[in-house]
Amino acid sequence: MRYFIVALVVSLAWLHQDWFVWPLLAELNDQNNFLSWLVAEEHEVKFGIPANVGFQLFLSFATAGVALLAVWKAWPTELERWAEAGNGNRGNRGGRDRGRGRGRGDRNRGGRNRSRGDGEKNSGRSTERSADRKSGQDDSSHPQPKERDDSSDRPRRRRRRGGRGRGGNGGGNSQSQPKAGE
Amino acid sequence: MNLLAAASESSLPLWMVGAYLVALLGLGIFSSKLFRGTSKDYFVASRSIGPFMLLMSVFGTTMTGFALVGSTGKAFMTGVATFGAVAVWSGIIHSSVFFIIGTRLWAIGKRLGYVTQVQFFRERFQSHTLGTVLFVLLVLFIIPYLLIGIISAGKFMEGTADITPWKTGLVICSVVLTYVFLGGVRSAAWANTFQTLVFMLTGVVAFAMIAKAVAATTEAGSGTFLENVKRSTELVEQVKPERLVRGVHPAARENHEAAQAKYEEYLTEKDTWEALVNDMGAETAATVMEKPEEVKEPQLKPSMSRLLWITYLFIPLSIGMFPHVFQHWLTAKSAKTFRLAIVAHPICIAVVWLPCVIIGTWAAGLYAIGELTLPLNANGKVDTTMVLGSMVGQLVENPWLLGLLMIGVLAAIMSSLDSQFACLGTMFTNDIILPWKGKDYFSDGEIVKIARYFVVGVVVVAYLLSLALMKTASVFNLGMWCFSGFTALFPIVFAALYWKRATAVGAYACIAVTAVLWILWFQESGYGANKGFRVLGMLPMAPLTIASALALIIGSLVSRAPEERQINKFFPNKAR
Repeated sequence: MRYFIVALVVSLAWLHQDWFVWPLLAELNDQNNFLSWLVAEEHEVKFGIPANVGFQLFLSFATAGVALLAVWKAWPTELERWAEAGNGNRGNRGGRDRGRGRGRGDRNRGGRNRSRGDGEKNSGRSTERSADRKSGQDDSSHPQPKERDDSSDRPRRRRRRGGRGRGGNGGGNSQSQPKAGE
Repeated sequence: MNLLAAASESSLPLWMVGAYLVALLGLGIFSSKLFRGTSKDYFVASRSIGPFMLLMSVFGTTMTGFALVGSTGKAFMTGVATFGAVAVWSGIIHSSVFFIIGTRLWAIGKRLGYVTQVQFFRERFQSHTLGTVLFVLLVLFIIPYLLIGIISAGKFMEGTADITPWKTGLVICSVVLTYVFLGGVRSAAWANTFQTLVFMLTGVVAFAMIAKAVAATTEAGSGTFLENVKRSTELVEQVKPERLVRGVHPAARENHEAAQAKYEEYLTEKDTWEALVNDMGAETAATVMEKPEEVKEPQLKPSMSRLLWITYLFIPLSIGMFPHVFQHWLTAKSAKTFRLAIVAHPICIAVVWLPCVIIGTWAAGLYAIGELTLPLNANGKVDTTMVLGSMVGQLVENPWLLGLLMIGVLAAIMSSLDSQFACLGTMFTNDIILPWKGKDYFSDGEIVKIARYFVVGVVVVAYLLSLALMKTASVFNLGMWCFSGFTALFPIVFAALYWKRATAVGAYACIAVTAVLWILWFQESGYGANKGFRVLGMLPMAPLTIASALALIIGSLVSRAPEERQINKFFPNKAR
């Protein structure tokens, strides 16, 4: 189907070069058949506009029609899944519990079981961790977009780690220490 | 309404413009209440924009003041071919670019958290320097584009309402700055939606009223809407038929044949005259026959050559490299959000462009019979930017329509300006400051503050530059050439998304070829002064883009292929 859509788009671009259209229409008109109502001359005024403008206007609507067919039949659903699912996969890779606990209402939504609506929130943090892992290889001056995007979430995530006892020996931040000590 | 009624008729359009700006400001402030306070919201509206707003904001961003004022002026000079060459090509190419480039960039942006093009290019080509070079180029290309908006608004208001340009520039910059400062891209998207609806409506209303006024100048007079349109176009057919075709009109062909016969007659007379002069000398020859008056050889030219018509397809490719459009793409809630924009964009373009092109064609007819007067520019030629304003001012003489037209033109200009301001603020923050200071240096709130400072800085600099360059035409010429630059860089984004073999060396080669050819041809065109400048009969951007694409391919093939494990994350099918 995608090749068909590409062929249609190329056809639109080809039809846009309308100089071969007018002789064809002139022939149709001469034959006096059922298509003879079509205009025969490029300059002829029909419905108040020149025929060539009418033809180009038709092409605009035809483009919209091809676009409709493309989004209906050739939509890259795998791309959407990739963008969405990539968040979840990455988030789960480093430990699914890290993905939860952003808000009180999220306590029970961790890892694979979280709702789609959480995908974006978690995606930010999962990619952030991915960027963290990479930062050892990369130049530190290179942009790490997710760090910036969700940097406001960082303290809460550390508190969660601390609460699980991983950073409780002084490796966590100051917020995690009191919890570890309790 | 009482206030408006109290106002004199001549000041009514200005009251309307004032009311519109207040409404826009109110909408901007309202939308800023939806701002969530995070940098992600400021830069990409938390990737939460729905289909309708995405369509309107992207469409509004791509349509500058040229869509209303420029298209009318271009149709005045070239005729209806303008519609097919610019609008229909744009419909086909824009929809395709949204589909194959926009959705893919959105997916990568969402997955990897990018908010600017440069972030993507830096990681895709694994070159920080390449990103910086692209940053400089993109900023250099977009600034003249932005200045055109401010200067056009100033000149338009000066021509229609006699307001000095610095005041218009100050007002529109202040309004745009207010809502972009407060709400970032989210406010820009809301404002664009409103403004796009306004300027679409303006074109349609102006078309209906001007059709009636033009028909009234014909023998048959005005009638129903369709009759008005028909009579107006028939008027052009009688007095300026060449404006109604892309190729050669039969009437023009008949005129050409008559002119050709006259020219051949002149050649015969000239031969006789020269023979007499050789035999008898000029003085004696003059007693036998009069020296024939010189007749130039007539040339039968189409309104637009076929090659030129084809190469217009390169203009809309520039949308793939516009940084402000990239930022709007990233605001989409999901990939599905693009669907409406992909389908409806060609129709939206037709709705805006068709009325303006037809009005421009009618103006050519009216001008030919002396029913329309137009101001001349410094070169003694008709100032085509004044065609739409003159049609409304001289034919309709309706202050409401004049007010609506002013609003429409300002809306078209401001809907691009806000996105460009927001985009430049975002780029300076994310591509320069954050990589320089380090990712952990600033808190999220501080990043928003920095972006806001940059937006203010960009607006102030742009405004001051517009004041300095207000009187020069060169910025317009430069701005038009900047489109060529964006188009020539299009192969980079396409290759980055679809060709795993594309390398940083290839991208550098593409940039180098673009820069060299661009400077060379820009200089040859008299720094843009020669608007008819062509390369091998094509728009310069066609050979420029072909050359830059070849350079990218060759540069990539001769350099070492990038490691798959490092670039797989940009390719959905092979992603880890």
